[in-house]
Amino acid sequence: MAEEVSSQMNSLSISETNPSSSATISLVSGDDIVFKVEPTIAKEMETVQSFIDETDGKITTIPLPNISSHDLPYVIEYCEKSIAGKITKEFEAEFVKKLNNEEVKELFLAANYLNIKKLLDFLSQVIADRIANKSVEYVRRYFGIENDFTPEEEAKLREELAWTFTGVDPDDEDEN
Amino acid sequence: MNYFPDEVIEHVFDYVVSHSDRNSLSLVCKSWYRIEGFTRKRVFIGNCYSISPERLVERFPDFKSLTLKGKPHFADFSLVPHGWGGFVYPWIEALAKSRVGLEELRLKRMVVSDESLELLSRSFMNFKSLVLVSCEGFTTDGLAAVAANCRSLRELDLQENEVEDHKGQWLSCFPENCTSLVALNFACLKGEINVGALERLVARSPNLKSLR
Repeated sequence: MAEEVSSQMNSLSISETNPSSSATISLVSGDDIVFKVEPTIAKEMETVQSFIDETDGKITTIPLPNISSHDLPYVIEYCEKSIAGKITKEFEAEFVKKLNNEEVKELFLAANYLNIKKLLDFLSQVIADRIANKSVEYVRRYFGIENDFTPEEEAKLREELAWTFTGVDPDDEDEN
Repeated sequence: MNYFPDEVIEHVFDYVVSHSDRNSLSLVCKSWYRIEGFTRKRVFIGNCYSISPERLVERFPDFKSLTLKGKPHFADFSLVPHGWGGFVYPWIEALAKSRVGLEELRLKRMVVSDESLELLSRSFMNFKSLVLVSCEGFTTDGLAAVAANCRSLRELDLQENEVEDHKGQWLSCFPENCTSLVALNFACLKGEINVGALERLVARSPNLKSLR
């Protein structure tokens, strides 16, 4: 598993123990893979940084039980680009092209958990784009949400939307 | 399958702007209906008689921008009898009473009285944008109140309205030192323009980008 991740992300050194790297921070994914990162990367992750600060920097191995070893490299990649000042539209377009819907949602939750504002904003826009112009049913499936309206309630709300909050005139096209 | 807590999904909602996408979010489930309601900033109402202002505020308590349409499309061809309705005054009165933080109002084919504009200009502290399209029933006196009282006004856009012109003095009513205007369009006014007043207005509107 570690090998596989390593080949994906060759900029990262992955090892269980490495005594010479006391300055680096070890992030431990939910499935127990250790990712060594520079302290500057950790700074991008508010949750990680406050953990380090709280222990006066004595603890540099941080368990991230909610994040899998599949998702963590993406998060690290984004943070690396961010501190290098290289978040461009092109980078973001390439970055998101690699991600399926499930991965986008997982990364969104990871960014939320780690409190990485930029990544969270970016992924919010990605999700908003992916549900744009889609039906209610599609959005429910996308997020795996069960409809808890009764058929009567839903019909009533749909009617209100159709009559009130939707353009019907020929000149309303740009309003919806 | 991932679970998205409400406070997390709210972040995504901030990025969904189109009216139809917001409408879809509100129908997903009960909790999304609630979250979508109190986070919606821009509301479009296709027919001013399809909902009461009170219900609007109850459903979208934090909205900042309202687009409201009065008479149907075919009113453009004089097919709607005089006195049909489409008065904006009851809306402004109710919204003022409910203390919503209205910043933008876009009206189409509505009857706008000077009294409405006067009340509007005094009721919403952060009011920034007024767009009137194919509206009637007001004069430049109402515009003067908007110019004088809406201290944060950025946009005043008058398109194809029937406006009774009381001699261009309203252009002198904007704040004296410096205005916040970014866009001003009064091309539909038929009366003569007070060129001196307009020149002085442009001179004290450093952010003005569009003038018609």
